[in-house]
Amino acid sequence: MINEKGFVAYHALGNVADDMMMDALLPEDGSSASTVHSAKRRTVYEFFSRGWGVAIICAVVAVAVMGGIIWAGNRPGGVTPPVGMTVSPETEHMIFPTETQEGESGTELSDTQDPERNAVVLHSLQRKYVPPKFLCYSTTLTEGEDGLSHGETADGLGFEGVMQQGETPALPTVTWAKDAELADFLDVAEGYIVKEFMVYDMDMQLVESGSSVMGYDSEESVKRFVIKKLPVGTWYMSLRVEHDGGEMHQCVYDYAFIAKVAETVTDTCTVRTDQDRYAWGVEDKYYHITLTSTVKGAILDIYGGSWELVNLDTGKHINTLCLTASAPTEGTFMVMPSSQEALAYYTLTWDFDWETTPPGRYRLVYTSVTMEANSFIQWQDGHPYYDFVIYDPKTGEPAPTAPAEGQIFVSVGGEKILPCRWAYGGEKWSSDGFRINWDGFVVPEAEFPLISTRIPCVNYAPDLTIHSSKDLTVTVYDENWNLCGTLRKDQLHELTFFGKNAYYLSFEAEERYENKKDYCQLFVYVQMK
Amino acid sequence: MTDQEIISLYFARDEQAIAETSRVYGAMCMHTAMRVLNSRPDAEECVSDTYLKAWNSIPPEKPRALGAFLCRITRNLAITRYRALHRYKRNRDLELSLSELAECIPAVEEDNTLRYLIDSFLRGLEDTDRRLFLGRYFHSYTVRRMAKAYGMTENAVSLRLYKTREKLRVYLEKEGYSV
Repeated sequence: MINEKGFVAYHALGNVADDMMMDALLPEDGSSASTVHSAKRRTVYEFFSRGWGVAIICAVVAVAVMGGIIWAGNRPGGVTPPVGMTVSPETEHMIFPTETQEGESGTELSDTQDPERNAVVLHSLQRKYVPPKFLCYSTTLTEGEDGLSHGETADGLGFEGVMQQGETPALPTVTWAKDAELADFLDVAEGYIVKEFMVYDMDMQLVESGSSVMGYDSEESVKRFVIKKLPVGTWYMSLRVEHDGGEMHQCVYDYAFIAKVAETVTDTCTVRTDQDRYAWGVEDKYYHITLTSTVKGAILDIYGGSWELVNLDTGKHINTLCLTASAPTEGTFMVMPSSQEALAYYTLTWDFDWETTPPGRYRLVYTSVTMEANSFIQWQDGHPYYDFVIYDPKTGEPAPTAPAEGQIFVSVGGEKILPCRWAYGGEKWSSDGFRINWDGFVVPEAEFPLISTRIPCVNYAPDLTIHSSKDLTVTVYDENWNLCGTLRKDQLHELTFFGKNAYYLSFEAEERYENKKDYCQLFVYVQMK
Repeated sequence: MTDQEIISLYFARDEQAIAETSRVYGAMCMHTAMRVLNSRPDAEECVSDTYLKAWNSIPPEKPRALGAFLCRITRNLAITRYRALHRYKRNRDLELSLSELAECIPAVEEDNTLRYLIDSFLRGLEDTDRRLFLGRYFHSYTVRRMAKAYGMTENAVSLRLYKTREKLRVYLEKEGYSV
């Protein structure tokens, strides 16, 4: 529940005097010079305010005055240094998008009252200008049996949309839902205008751009613009969006996402282990699992639902990941629905504490007070849950023992799932391909020998060998999941060109199965040594 | 660059004001926002909004302490943003601190008398207690973080916070405010 009382109390505390407030800042936060002074001044004041200190101070002052007179008299221009000396605050380097990149077009402003004044700020405050450095979220565009194109976008910055075929049969449109609650979440409200869009191919060559946009269609409750229909394939898209939502929100945002145009509706679920959060044997002993799922459905009432983690071995309810009830007992939780129409996309992210979430069999259960609204969702085996197993890194068994350096195994989907094996430790990595299909069937490995990845040694010049029976797309992200670029599988030795310390590599391949086009995605974390 | 020099840039409508503000106080604002939002993208946006608000406020405002001015803006923007986002991105520690705060400060909005009383109470506290209290409930530091900074155990910090909360509650009750 929202702690409204707490928020009110929080605001009531917000008017404390500056000196006290800044005095409570810890040093690493870069307290300002004035803070240091104010603290010092108060200390002196307090010292004076204590009666017995006055006598001592008077005596000291008397001696100092005498000494000062003598010293000043012997010193040319005897002036003491100013009391208010400047103390340079230590500030840590902060990445802040104060600079725009080359090639950026001008920003139109909507503030007619004082455009010049805001122009300066908006230029400075412009958020990350993405192309050709794209964010990592992906978009799937599919053509369903109804002949329409469906899709979704998610850029992780509070902007998402739905792609579907519009009134012009040959042209898909990008449509944003107007729903108030969704808009509230997405920070996309009336007043947003898409100023420009660009479409790139995988080689970052611009294939389509335009600025002919669109307006707000009050009758259809959508905003839309038209782009040329894209062929099947993977495309990078970026949008520049201007928001005229008031004085505080007159900003221009740049969004980018990957659009995958497929021929059929594809349901996929990818579970990836976020390796940089692994910390075996160190202080926190946390590891981190992100479950990303795309489910075919209509309205996903994610707002009213909750996720609950149950240890199937003990029956213990580990925590309640609930959007509207109490906070989870550990970790963080994030849900990102992209839309209330067509495909729904969400990401669950939370931290498992080894001590409270030991190896074992777990079930992530979704419940909702309005389950009928979720009946569209094609759950595994028709049940609204995901099963997964956390294996012990030492024994490889789903039984709890103390964590240790070494391998970690994670599988998803219970017995039906192909083994997903992650090995790490800095020197060698290996991973077997896996594939998850939420349509309720899993293709045996023999029929889908998708990826066999072996990275025997990762050094300054990584020697990566990829074994695959299929054509692969290797997408490279940095540790923050910012897209660095793409490589062919025979180009992985060029990984160092991106200049990062660690990467996530996404190996993707497509496969046709029972007239459906499926793709597998495997994430491997590579640490440069 | 001093506060006054930065403020002069604002008054001159010089874009450099933002850059200097970011250089001097960017980390502080970022830390402040991060402690509430626990999300770097959200915090970055919050800090951007802070600069925008500062730009729009100065002039006519002429803050005496720019750092405090910015910190207050960031904190308010962050908590407002958190309230909007919190269904999706929970900050367990912040929730805990809010619930603790609600134990000792009544939920009365826009009450200047209450604010004055809180200010007076805090000024009367022993230095460490005041810093711990404001660190926890104004700046949203974790107990662990403060324990490390002050060379205390987490239990000791928690206990002192508890005692301060109780003192504040009793103090406010005597003044006619019941939690």
